Amino acid sequence: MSTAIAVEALTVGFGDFIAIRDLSFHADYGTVRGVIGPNGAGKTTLLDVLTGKSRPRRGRVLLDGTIDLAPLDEVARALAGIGRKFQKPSVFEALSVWDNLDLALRLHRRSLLREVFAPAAAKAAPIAALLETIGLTALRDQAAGTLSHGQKQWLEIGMVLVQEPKLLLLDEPVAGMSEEETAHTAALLHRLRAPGRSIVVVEHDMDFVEQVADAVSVLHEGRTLFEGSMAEARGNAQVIEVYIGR
Amino acid sequence: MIGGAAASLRICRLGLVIWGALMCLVLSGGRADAAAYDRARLIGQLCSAEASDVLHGLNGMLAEAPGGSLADGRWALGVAQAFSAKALRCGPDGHGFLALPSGEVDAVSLAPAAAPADSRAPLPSLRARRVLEQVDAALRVFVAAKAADRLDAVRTLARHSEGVPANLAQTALAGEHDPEVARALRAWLVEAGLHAPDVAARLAAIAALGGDARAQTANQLMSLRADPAYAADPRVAAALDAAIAHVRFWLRIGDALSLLYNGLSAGSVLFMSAAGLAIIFGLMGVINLAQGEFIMIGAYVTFSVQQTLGAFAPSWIAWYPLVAVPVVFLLTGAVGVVVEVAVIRHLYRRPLMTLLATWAISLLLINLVRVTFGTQNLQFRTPPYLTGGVRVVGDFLVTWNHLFAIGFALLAFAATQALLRLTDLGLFIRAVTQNRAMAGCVGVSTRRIDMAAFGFGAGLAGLGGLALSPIYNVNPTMGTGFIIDSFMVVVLGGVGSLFGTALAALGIGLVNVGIEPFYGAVAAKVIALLMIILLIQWRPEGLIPALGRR
Amino acid sequence: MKGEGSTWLAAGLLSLLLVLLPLLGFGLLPGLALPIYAVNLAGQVMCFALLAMAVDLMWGGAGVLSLGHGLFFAFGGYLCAMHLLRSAYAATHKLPDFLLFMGHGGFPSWWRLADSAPLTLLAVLVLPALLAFAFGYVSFRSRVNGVYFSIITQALTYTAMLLMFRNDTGFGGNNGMTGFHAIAGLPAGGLAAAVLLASLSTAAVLAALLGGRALLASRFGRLLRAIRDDEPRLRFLGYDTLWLKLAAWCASATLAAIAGMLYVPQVGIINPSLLDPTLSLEIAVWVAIGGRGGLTGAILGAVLVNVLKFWLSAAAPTLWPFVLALLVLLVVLALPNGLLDLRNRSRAWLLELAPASLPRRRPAR
Ligand SMILES: Nc1ncnc2c1ncn2[C@@H]1O[C@H](COP(=O)(O)OP(=O)(O)OP(=O)(O)O)[C@@H](O)[C@H]1O
Ligand SMILES: [Mg+2]
Repeated sequence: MSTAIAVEALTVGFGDFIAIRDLSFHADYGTVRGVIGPNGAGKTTLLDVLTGKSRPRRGRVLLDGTIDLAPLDEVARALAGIGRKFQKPSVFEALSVWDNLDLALRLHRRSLLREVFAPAAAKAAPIAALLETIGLTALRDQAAGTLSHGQKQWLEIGMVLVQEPKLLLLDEPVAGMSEEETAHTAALLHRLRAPGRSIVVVEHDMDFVEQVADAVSVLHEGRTLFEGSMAEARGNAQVIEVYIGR
Repeated sequence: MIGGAAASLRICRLGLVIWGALMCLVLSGGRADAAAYDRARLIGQLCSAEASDVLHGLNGMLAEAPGGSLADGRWALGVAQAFSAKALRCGPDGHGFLALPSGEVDAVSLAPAAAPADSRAPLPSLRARRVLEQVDAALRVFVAAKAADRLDAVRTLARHSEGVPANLAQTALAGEHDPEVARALRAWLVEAGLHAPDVAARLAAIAALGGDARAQTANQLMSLRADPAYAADPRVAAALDAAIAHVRFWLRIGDALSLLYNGLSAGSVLFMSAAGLAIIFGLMGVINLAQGEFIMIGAYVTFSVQQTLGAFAPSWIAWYPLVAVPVVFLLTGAVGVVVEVAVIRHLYRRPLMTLLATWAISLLLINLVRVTFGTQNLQFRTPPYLTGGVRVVGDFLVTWNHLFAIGFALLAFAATQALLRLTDLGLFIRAVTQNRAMAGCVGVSTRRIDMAAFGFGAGLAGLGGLALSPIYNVNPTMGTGFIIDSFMVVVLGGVGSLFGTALAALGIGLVNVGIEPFYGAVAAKVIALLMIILLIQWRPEGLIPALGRR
Repeated sequence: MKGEGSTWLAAGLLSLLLVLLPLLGFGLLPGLALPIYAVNLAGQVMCFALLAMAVDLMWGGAGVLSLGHGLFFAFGGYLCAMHLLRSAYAATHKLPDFLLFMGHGGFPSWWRLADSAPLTLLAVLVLPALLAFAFGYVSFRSRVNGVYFSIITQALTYTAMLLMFRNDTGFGGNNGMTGFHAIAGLPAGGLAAAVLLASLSTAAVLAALLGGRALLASRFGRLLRAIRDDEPRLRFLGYDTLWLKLAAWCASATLAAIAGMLYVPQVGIINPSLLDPTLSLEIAVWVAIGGRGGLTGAILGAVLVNVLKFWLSAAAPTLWPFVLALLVLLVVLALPNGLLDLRNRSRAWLLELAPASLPRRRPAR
């Protein structure tokens, strides 16, 4: 198991507020890493730093354990294989479900021009397959803005999947989903496991995390409180105090 | 053309003076004091057919001017003015008469007497006219009742000083009470000293000039360098060089201060219009294109206050700028509130549409004002304490109207800062600016805050209009020029920081004022725009980025 | 893509106008003839429609509102005027007034480049786009967007206006450039030239409409709409939106420049008033009134507002600004997407009244 992403001594602040403090974190290829923690712990901020949305004050972020991500902007990082689903569903509301996926599917990462002029037919098969996976085939022509919250979640997961990222970051993927949908997502995550892919799941739903994650990191006030399996986390007194017990 | 106009103006003025002087003459005519003048001989000379006699007489008048009594001076002035106005009648026997508006009088005794039918009205020759002008001025220096008249006379003499008696300025200075006329006399003395044959007098004059740094003195000193007398005497040359260096130094300081002062005043005005814009933009993400029209409304309200005071409390009229402060703030603020409630509030999530809507509002306001007040510039009765100024150093003049604007902006800054930092409303404004949703969650009524802030921003702009009214032309379209500069201030200063806004306003004001004299107003605008675009490259959030989540 | 119906309707009407202009202009239909000023007016309005489409491409397409398209419009116009003045000089050997006024004995030598019509056309197609590229690059690269971008574009035109107002800039100062002699060999101001220019303008609008629709319906158009919806999201999908926006921005500038090139010979003069920020704002107003995003709305808005303006500013000049302002407020407050909204709304009402009688439109992919 090689390291997919490693974060060393990371500090992120906004004004005089420190959201992440001296945090170290890593995730390996072929595994699913859960990240839990109370509201405001800095989970989303961590993903922001990984994807280039926020700039750290200190610390390093290494992809594949070697490539320093600091000089890369969010576009370059996406092209390097980091895919992210946002906490707040972010789909293109004016576009149809199909078109959302059509844009998300990149055939030519090196050339924007070729991407823009790629024939629609070349993308049709993977999109159709993905629509089946996320169960939105019937809604393919509907504007994304008209979908329900859960459907938007699915669509966004689909948009990330279709990019075939090697580092897949999911921010609260099952928030607002029914139990059945949650189970479906868990199953999907199991299928997405691949030796060349690392998955990081931020979630408040413990059972879901326990189901999908090989290991969890518990964040609290911008620090790692605990690292290990979910079962151990449930038994850890500190974790219980700051998070589970409440 | 221009010379002709000036000449006819001169003649008109001369006519008035003649009339006034002759009245005095008639009044004082009865008091016959010990005659220092041989009046009859003088009239005889003036009436002579020989040009040399006439010149002789006039030169005599000029020489006597500092010495004679008041009554003599008045008489002589009357005669001189009558002569130049062709109102001196000469009988065949050399007797003179003056043709007054009230009738003809004897030129010597001033008793009513008709001039014989064969008398002539001599026309002063060109040379005589030149001397006559000097005589007129020299006499006026002593006898004119109005300080402005005497000042004019001194300036005339200083321009044409050849043949004027050397002791004239000194004598006049001794009896002069008006400080401005005295200053002019002293300047003239210095100027005369520069060309005095006596080296000590020259050195004193150079030193006196060197102590008074103005562009004009610099030119005077520079022109002296060409004078051969200065090359001859090394002491004089050294004194001259030192004086020039000194004057230049202070001039440069004065120029720098002027630049700073003008930049400060331009920046103050910008700040007044941009502060409201920045608060509103930070709060609601809305650019109010009608901000300039709030300034315009503020100026019009000021004008209305002035008119109202003029009609109902004329003794208060000089204080209209102060009386107007609350009225302007409240009325313009009320307009802002109406605009917010009627339009802006429905468009919060569509900032680009708000641009168009506020543009439509500005169009509406401009045309409403145009229809009610007309398009011409308003005529303000600027109170005396806002006109003129005081010279500080070099040619740097602290003008009261600009100082008013600067002081006003400072007060507005302090008041706004106090509002934002010390009041509940300010706390709420800052909270909503940082995180609207969160502030809404904890129970702040964001709508009321928006309304209050918009009204406040409008009121502030209105006060800007008040501060501007003594400086700028006030007309319905005066606001359109502000919006672009004001927005540049917001871009440069970032949102949510009043300090940044003030700094940016001063910066842009200084750049505009600083570049203009060298490269022109257009270049100033181009350079300011380029600088802003460059700055955005380097710092997209503005000079002082606001904290908070966006 | 929505609004197919209105596109075809607009295209049909434009084609009809294209056919009718020569027929009515030259009085070829018995009893029906358009006076020359009407032909001219139609041509000018078509130029404005083209200009409005240029703004709509960016605003409706990518959500980027330019308040400075007057700059590109005027750029095209000045280039065209230079060519027309050079050809007038070739024919009459009389120097234009503004050169005499500035004390020049002849044209600056580089004006010779404007002698050739194809070269001028090339310049119109390329130079404004280059300017747009330079400005767009620095702005988009540093993520200037939304209201910031709009105002900076406005500042840009404003600055250009101040520049062109100066006599020593060399393009006629505030008097502008006028005195065109012939347009494509036809005497300037004559009927033939008017009909030719009006038809060309109409054809340009038609071509831009069809081309623009195709562009917006392509993946490029979808990417633009994605930018409008959520630009950061698109960047997280690995699209460098800088280049997408730049491409649309330059195309839009070129369209505006073409409109300016066609407009100037029709009014016979160019002066810096085209650079007045008010004109640029008015363009946005046409688009807002007509409706954004579909290009037909832009045409509709430009035609309606300008016809109303021509009519009202002659009939009741003081009234016009009030009418315009109230119209804008009405549209902005009541019809967020302009007059096209009216159609959608009436359709919705009709559907409510008689749900079965109308076929429900299926949203196309
Ligand atoms: N751009 C920002 N500006 C200011 N503060 C921020 C910003 N981004 C995050 N924060 C603050 O940083 C802290 C961590 O936020 P973050 O979103 O990472 O929490 P989280 O762990 O994802 O919480 P949740 O479970 O509620 O999603 C919070 O207090 C938040 O308010
Ligand atoms: Mg979060």
